[in-house]
Amino acid sequence: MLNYFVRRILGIIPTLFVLMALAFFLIRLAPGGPFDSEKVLLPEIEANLRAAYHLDEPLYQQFARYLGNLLQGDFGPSFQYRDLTVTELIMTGFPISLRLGAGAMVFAVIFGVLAGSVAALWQNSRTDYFVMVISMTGISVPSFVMAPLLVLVFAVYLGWLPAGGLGGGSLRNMVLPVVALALPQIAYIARLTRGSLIEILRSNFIRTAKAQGLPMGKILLVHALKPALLPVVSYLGPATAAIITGSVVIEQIFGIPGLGRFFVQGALNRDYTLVMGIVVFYGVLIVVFNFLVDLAYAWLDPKVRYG
Amino acid sequence: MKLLEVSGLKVRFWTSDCEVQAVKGLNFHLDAGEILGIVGESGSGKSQSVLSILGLLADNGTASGTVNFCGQNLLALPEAELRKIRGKRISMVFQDPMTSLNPYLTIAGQMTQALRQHKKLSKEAAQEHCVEMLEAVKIPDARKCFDRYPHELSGGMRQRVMIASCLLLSPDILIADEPTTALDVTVQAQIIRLMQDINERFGTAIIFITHDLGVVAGLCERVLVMHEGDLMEEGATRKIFYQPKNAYTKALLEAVSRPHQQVTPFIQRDGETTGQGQDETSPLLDVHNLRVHFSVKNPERWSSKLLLKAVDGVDLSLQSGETLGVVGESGCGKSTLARAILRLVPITSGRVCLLGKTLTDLAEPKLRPLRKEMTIIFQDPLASLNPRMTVGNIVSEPLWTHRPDLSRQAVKREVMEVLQRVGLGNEGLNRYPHEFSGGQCQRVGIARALILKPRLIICDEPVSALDVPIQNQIMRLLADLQREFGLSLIFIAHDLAVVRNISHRIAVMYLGQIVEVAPALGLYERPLHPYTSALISAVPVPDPDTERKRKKQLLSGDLPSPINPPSGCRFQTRCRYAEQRCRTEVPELRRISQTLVACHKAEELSTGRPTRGTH
Repeated sequence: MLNYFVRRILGIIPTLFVLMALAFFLIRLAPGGPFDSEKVLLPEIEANLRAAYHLDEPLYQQFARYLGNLLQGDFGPSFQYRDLTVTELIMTGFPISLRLGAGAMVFAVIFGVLAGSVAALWQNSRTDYFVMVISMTGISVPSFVMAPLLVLVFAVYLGWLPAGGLGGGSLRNMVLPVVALALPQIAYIARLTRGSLIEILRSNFIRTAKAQGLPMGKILLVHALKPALLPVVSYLGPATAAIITGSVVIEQIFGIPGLGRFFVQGALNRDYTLVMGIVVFYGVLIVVFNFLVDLAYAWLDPKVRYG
Repeated sequence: MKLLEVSGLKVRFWTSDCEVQAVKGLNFHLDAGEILGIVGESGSGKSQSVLSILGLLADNGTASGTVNFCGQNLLALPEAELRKIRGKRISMVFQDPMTSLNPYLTIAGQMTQALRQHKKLSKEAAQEHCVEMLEAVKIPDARKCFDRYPHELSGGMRQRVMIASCLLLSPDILIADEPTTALDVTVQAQIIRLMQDINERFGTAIIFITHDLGVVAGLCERVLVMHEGDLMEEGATRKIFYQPKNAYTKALLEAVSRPHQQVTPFIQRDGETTGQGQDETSPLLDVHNLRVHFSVKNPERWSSKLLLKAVDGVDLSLQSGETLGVVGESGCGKSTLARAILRLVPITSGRVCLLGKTLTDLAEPKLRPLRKEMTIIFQDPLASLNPRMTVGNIVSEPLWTHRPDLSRQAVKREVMEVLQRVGLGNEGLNRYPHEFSGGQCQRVGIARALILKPRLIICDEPVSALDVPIQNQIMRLLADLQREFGLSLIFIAHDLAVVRNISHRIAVMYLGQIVEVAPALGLYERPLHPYTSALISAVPVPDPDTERKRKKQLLSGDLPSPINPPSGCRFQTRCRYAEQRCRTEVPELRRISQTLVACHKAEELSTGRPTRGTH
């Protein structure tokens, strides 16, 4: 088991390296630089600035320097927010994004599994078709369309919920962004759950449980749900990635000062270190989460557990 | 006393394009404490009728009629009431023990669940009761088995667990739907013994559904014969077997193979002695010291690998025009042997020679031209045909590879010829495999194997998935083709009864090794290896009087793991003649008259026993 851990963790390193290299060179490929603004700087000052941030070195040296610093846990200073380091920026943005993302994830799993189970239990009924049509819509309508629509209905017309902002961390302000972020995931999880639950319910061991006189509720909870949820569990890895990328858009739309907003601002301002910092941070997060999902899978499925 | 009375039972299924009548008005009853057999081929409606009794039909099925149990009509009972009967008063064992237990729950989880549903028991008391039941069905080390997952147990053990969980609430009726079909004969014999035991000890009435008349002969007091949803005949077992009235029953009885009696074989046996004279002419196929080892994950430690010795030192040879039967329990390595001979799995060591050429030395491109001399027919007729290809394309495919010189017309002519020869006619050419029955699919598989006119065909359990009358047709076809084209066949089966009529010689495999090779008739009359005689003894005889009288040698336990085979003679752990020498010394395969046998005590056993009296 320890060996397996070590192998998996070693496997993470090349993934992260490729990710960092791509992000590092791609952002530098984009035209412009961190010190381009309306106010044109004197050439000497700009040269001094570039030297201070080591931007005058050849790219490979910059990359090596960046990796070296990263290994010591130093994400470097932000170019745009001059007084703050990237680490500090991530620490202010992340708790807000985490609240949004985790909320969306929990929401997506609960309602996705629920909707999918209902559809599977009443397969080919009107309920089933309704759930499936809704989830197809959820998957196909992009969040930058869905979010403004939600705002329009629930904030503008009905006036039930605030249209945006953090509102001092109030729960009411989180509802619309969480829902907008979770909807495509709910839809996808519902479809996954429906498919696998239908298959499980037709399997021989469910018939055995019925023949032993267990009521449907118990059969569902004790016998069917765990195997039916395996595909959902393995989807949680990609779902995390989807929620993180989704949050970038959602935070923009709802004006939430999370990591996603820093990321967009950083990219627009060519704040190299900030963009890199967030890419690495999210990269590690996604890889680690995928690893945890694999462990959960092994824990759920005895056949994987015992090889 | 009538415990269960079924009258006018009809079962219908609605499929997307038609309504299917699976059971067409069935009447029967079950007395308290009796064992009733229901016999029929697949599709006769025997399973559907019992599933409908417990309301377990698939969603598109409905049942009508009455099923009277303790004054209640089960078919009219609401689900909640029916649940109180399921598992408690009537419980059911299913065919496939591999899929009928929940793979995600431990044995403990599923057994206590069922028990506590019907009986208010503390967790500890429930567990105690479950372990007692596991012990009652003779599971060794029951307490340990209790905490295992189903996939950690063998098929026979899983079926015992199924039976144990059915008996937890001491039901009045136990319905067993082909409980031994997926198991080896040796394990089947154990399970049947267990069923008899349960019937005697607990007085449980048993409905035993099977396609195997041999099982019925030994176990059941009364038999129903079903065919295409109708009841053909009903009566006491002896009456059905000795004075069948119905034409279908008679046909069914004639079709069964009787391993212990002389029947007309499919082949001429004049080749039987020449089959032994291996040194005179050079054999078509010569296998020497063949080993196939797989490396598998170690379940205890993730990092390390274990060696699974599927085939471990096999020698055999095959003459032109000869059939060699290969038998053994599942897991003995017979399918791996077949694949290794054809180089379909990597070989660890050893030599395979075909027509004087050493296959094991050739690289794949050099081997390819030789592939047209040797083909294989697989066990599952439908699964071994590509569902997206027409039968015409499936059969002609080998020609495109090996005879690129042929024109389109010539290929078509060849295909039509071979389809005709295997008895399919030409209209099948543009149809897809799923439009054919199992027997017809197997004919397609034979046509595909035959089209290149090979010298050697390996048949890997070609009839195991088919009903008995169809089995006989396919085997007769293979025997005819052999005579016509001078084919050599290796015929693999887990059932000794099947290979008897088609083989000149038979090789018995145990844990990756051959333990006995003998002329077909000699093997049945005078088995020298204790394992062979146990295998023969395990096959039930479709004759009630003989079956009930004969002394059976039950093999205890399961096949040991090929990962860690027993020391010395591999059969020693299950052999009743085993002594100190067998535990330490590996027996060589040696010749005793016409037989090759690997047993230290073969001579003693061959003289110390009457030639025919063991079964």
